[in-house]
Amino acid sequence: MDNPYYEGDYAEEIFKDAEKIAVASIGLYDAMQNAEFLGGRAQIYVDIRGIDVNPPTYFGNMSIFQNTASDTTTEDAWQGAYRTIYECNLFLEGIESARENNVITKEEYEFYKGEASFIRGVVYFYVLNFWGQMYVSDSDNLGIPLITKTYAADGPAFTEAPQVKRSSIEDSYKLIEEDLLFAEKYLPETRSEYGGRAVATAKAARAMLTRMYLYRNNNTEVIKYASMLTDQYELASTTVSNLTNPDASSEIIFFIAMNTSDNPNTNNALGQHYGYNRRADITVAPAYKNLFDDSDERKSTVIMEYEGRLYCYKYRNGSSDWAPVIRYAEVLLNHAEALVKSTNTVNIEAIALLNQVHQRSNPSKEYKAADFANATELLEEILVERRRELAFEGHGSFDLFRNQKGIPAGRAAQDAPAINYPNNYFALPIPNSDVIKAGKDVLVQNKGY
Amino acid sequence: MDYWRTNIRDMILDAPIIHTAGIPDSKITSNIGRMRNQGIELQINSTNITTDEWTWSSVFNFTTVNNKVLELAGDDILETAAVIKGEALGVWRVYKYAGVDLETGRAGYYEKDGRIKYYDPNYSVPQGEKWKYADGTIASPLNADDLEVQSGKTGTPKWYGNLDNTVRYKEFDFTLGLQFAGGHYLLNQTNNGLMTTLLNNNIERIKDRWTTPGQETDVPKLYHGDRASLPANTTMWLEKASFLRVRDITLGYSLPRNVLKNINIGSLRVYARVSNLAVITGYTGTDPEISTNRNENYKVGYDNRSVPYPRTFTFGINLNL
Repeated sequence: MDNPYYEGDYAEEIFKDAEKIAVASIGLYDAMQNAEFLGGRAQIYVDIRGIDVNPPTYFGNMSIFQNTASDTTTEDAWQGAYRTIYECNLFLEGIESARENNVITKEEYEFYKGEASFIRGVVYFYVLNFWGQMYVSDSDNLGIPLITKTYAADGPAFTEAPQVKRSSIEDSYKLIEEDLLFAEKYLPETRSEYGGRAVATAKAARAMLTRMYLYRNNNTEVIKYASMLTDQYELASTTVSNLTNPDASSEIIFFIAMNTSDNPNTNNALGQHYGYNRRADITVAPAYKNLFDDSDERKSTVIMEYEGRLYCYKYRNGSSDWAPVIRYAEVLLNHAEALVKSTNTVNIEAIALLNQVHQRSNPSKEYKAADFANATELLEEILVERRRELAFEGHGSFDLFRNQKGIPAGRAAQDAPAINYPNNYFALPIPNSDVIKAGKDVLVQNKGY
Repeated sequence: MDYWRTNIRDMILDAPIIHTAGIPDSKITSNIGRMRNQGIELQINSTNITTDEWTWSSVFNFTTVNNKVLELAGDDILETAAVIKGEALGVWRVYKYAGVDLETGRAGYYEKDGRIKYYDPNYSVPQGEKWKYADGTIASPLNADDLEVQSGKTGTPKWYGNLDNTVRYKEFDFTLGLQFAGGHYLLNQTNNGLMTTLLNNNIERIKDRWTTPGQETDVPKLYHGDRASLPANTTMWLEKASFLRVRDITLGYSLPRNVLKNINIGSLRVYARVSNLAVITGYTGTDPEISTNRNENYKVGYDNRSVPYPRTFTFGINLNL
């Protein structure tokens, strides 16, 4: 899985030819497969820092909130994310010049820009949630360095130009919003490649916007975009069929496609880390099982027991499982959560959405308004449903922190104290090597590191 | 005996670039430096004994290398094996281990000003309070400011040579070849990886761990899952690796001339050789002549799960018809 290293003269050749540009655009998805970030590790890190997974000993200090600024795990993730962002920026610069030279039409330019913007926006969203100081005490409001151009290897890369300061959280979200809104406006509604499930579409952009606005507590916008997606997708027959058979899934909005010859491989693939009969690095917390009624089919399909331990059973293909980003069940739950938070009532529409997701797996249980004494109880149940449905897909710790929840005591060890919200260590450290290279006070380190 | 000096210009190094620039591998191979190597070379050939039946000759060669980076086009490359102007290429830059606190069993590391801070792996101690000075005040976690350049210590030997002795007695020939090198330091990351408390395999050394107050040892008290007491890039794993290797021993027998004439053969010699019979070294890793890093050309001397030189036995026949 080699990223095409095209630069300098060679890049010029590509952007003079419309056919070559089309092929190069596929390279963006290849970049998104980055083994250290969204190819699997990013999703894993979100969950191993949450409560439904036992803290694994692999992945360094990541799972027990003891990262140091010199950890290679954190550094590799940071590097991987910005590699993907670089490929998007390189492509965006290329199509600018291609448009200026009339190699591509205005519509083609907007389509390509939409693709690169979608991918860049999604990657920046994860980077911001990992490294931004959003869930820490007396927040200095530090976001992430926003890189929107490339620096050539024959000179500019060595100057101070790439040593970009961290933007504020607001500005970081602004860029992500701009990128996703552009994608939403200019990408086609659906596409045929990869069943439309692994390429950027306007609908995928809308779905990511629901999540982004939910994290931002902008519930009106969540409801707006979620409503646009109503009935645009169909829930699959089981939760697990999304991952065991992604090509055929009616529910997947955007996942990162893998196959047997193009995947993050043994040491980085989701199926390898979670697979009971593969690396088995990650086991599921025993309490997770108790979230399900016995009649819930997820209880026996999403998790499974092996030699006395509980394992995630969503990824069954070893190295070639697709890496999840967003699917319809999440959009429904985003919608439900936003409705409850914005109306602060036991909202009927929210209950209906909750039932849609819940009854797909547990048809005999229907939630009713009478089940909930107040809005808070309904919200808590929706958040539990998120854990039931979306565990091991990259939501765990983010869902906790954005709802001002911390980590309970006794997780890493019997006498481990609770890590209450807000906490400096909910944000990952900026890698030391970059803090040093950026020169004094350019890349300010997160508090506590 | 020669004194030699080589000046290297336009040295090709992998210049590291900030990760946010997004460049593949975050480095660009470019001409960014000037370096100087100098030393002496000595060679002695001697024929010690020559009689009708015996000869004994020796060859001795010896080289010293003094390396210094003279100039860099950009900033110093500050990594575990660093490229710093005025230092040897790949000089080690690591945390300075201060051993284990006698009373608590915690690992300690020096800060730049000489103060020692200790790490408490106990899970009940919250993040932010795990590093403390001896007096109990809170210290900053181990960070880049604490790294110390170990001037003069690199993974490249400063001297090396061979001593070969050949003895002939009638039809027998015997050669003993010795190789030696030294002045280099290896970072024994293999040992570091075998001293974890992550339920992986361990080496015997872990039995030296601190258990009772007052115990003197350099292995801290063990906590399951502790990943921060013994990081890999510290002086604890930096070991001197000077060595003497019995490079080869060969014993051969050549058929005498009268026998050869009778069977009409030019010459026939049978021999047996042992290569790498033994290594005498203070280095505790598998082999003192190892470097497992394949990625950067200045990172010499990492020993990470390295495979040592094997001992090989060779039997052979030289035949001329």
